Amino acid sequence: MLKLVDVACIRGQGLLFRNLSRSINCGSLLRVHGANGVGKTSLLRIIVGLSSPHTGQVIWKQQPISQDMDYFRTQLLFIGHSDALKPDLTPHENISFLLALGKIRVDEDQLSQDISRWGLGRLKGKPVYSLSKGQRRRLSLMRLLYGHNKPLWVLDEPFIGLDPKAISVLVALIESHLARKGIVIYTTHQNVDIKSPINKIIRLDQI
Amino acid sequence: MSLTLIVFAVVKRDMQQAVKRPSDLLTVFCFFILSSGLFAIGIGPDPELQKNIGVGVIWASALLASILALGELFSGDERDGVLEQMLLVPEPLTVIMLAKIIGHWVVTGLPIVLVSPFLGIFFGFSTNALLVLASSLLLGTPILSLLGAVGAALTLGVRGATALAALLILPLYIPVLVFGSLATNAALIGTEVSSHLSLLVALLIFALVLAPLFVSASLKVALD
Amino acid sequence: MKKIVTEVIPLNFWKYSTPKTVFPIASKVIPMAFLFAVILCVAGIYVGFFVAPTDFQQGEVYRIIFIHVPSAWMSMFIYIIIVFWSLMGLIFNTRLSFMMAQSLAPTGAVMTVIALWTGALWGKPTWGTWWVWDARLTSELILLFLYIGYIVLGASIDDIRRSDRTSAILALIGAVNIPIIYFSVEWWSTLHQGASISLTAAPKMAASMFLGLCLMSLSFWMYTIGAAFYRLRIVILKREKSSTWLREFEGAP
Repeated sequence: MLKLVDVACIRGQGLLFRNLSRSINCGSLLRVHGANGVGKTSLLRIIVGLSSPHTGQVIWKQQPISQDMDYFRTQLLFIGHSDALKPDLTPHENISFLLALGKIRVDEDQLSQDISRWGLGRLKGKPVYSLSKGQRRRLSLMRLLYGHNKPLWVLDEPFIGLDPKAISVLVALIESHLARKGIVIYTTHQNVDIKSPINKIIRLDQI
Repeated sequence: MSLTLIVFAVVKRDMQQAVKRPSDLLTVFCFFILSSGLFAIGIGPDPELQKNIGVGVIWASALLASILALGELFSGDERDGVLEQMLLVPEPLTVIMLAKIIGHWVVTGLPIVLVSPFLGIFFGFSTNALLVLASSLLLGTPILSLLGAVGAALTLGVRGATALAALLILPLYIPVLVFGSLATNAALIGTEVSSHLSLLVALLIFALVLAPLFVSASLKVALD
Repeated sequence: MKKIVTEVIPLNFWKYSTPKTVFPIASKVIPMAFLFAVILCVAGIYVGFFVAPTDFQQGEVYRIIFIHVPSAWMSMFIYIIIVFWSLMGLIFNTRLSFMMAQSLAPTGAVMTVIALWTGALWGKPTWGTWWVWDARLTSELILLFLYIGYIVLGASIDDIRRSDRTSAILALIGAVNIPIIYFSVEWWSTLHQGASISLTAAPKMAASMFLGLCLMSLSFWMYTIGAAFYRLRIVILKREKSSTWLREFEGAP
């Protein structure tokens, strides 16, 4: 499904990694592992097409993603290092905007209910700047609830700041996505146990 | 269809933000009025002189106010990570950026257009000149927003971004300033106005086509 | 497979698009270019100041054209070349193109300053004023700010890849200004006189004046080539300091 062919990445003056080739099939979980500064985030940004690799290609369904970026993006849900939330807006306004950007249509009432189910109901109407770091992360990850049409999930440090209960909810979401043959690519420094039919890892410091 | 929804969402969100944090646009608005006022005070009470110089003063103040408004245009969204989500939308980035620029113009440019006739009265303009002043600003301020967005995109995340954006963009504002003030001055002395206004329309169309392209290209490079 | 193809084609254009191949060429070109610049400049000044006749309208003061016109031409030409290299860099993703563009910019800025300065010196005795805010003068001043903005923008972005591309985009945006400068004397009635030389008609001036102008223009061209390559060498030295070819080249006898 997703293939990395001979990918190299240069940042600033230095080479981060090169000759990185992997193929990732449907239903796989891929963890990108490595110490700070080895290029985990850079690799994720190359995979989603925000950065272009120095050499090599990212291939989605036998086609380089650069050939039909718009199509590739319809297949993708990316949650980056930052939460993509505007501090002045309410949780509802934020999620509704992000869903619109992702072309996901959700009923307003449905969205309110989901926010409550997601455990953020008490924060209704409050601006996001009053939320804690963990609450913001949780709110940002709420997009995954509506991500079943997007086969490829790319998550940069999704577990950071989450409490054990939120982690288990997120793990369950990821597992159900893998069960419906989706691909999940993620980075983390925490030890989180995710059950997956195909478990892969890229160790960037060993390339 | 989905593209219109996204455009609508982007404009709506910028409005929501402006309503929740009105200080940002109030600063720009007040700067415009204060700057024009300062010139008037500096020139002294001679009404003839004020009338002659008023057009240039109001236009130059609009230019500076528009530069002042650029600060948060993209940098806020970049900081929060919203900008990268916008880059990942499976629709043309140029259209999304155009929506953002339109939103920006509504909250920073439009108030300047609306208040300009009142400033014109202070400078002793005739009714006809007031109308031409407002309509030339109505055509001109969107161009300022479009060009300004290019400057903001080029300098995104750079040290001293606003000052640098001013250096890059103010020279490009000159044609807008020239035709905008020519139109109003023509109205003041009672000569033909429409040719200057049509040149502004031409500039506006030119900027509408090109600026979003340059903005998208710069943002893609900036986030690469 | 790829290797075979490059060997079959006798002259490979892309071979000349890497710093490695251009560096030694630049080293050879620089002294020659500066030498020619000096020779042509001496010849041009001799023709301009001692051979060319006095202008019947403007007197001796017109002789400033021998510096003013070539520098004004160069200020526009250099910008066009910068736009060309920027486009090449953005389309073909060649590092050297961006380096070329950046090496040219300071010379372009200097040429613009000379054109504005000599223009003011000429304006005072002939128009009675150092400066007017007319279309040609203003657009030339905008050009100076474009050069400065281009240089400052490139310098203020740390990441080289981004710095190259962002300043290239700025160069393209500024390209709009070049036709405005060139045609401003025809589009708007201004104090500035129209062009005396065009490609399509015989020059409206004495042959010796024309010769002086040609010599000075060539001299400015040579200076620009020399100065640009000189700066290009410095840029390459700075950017490629970690690469092996440069160490080998420097270490070679």
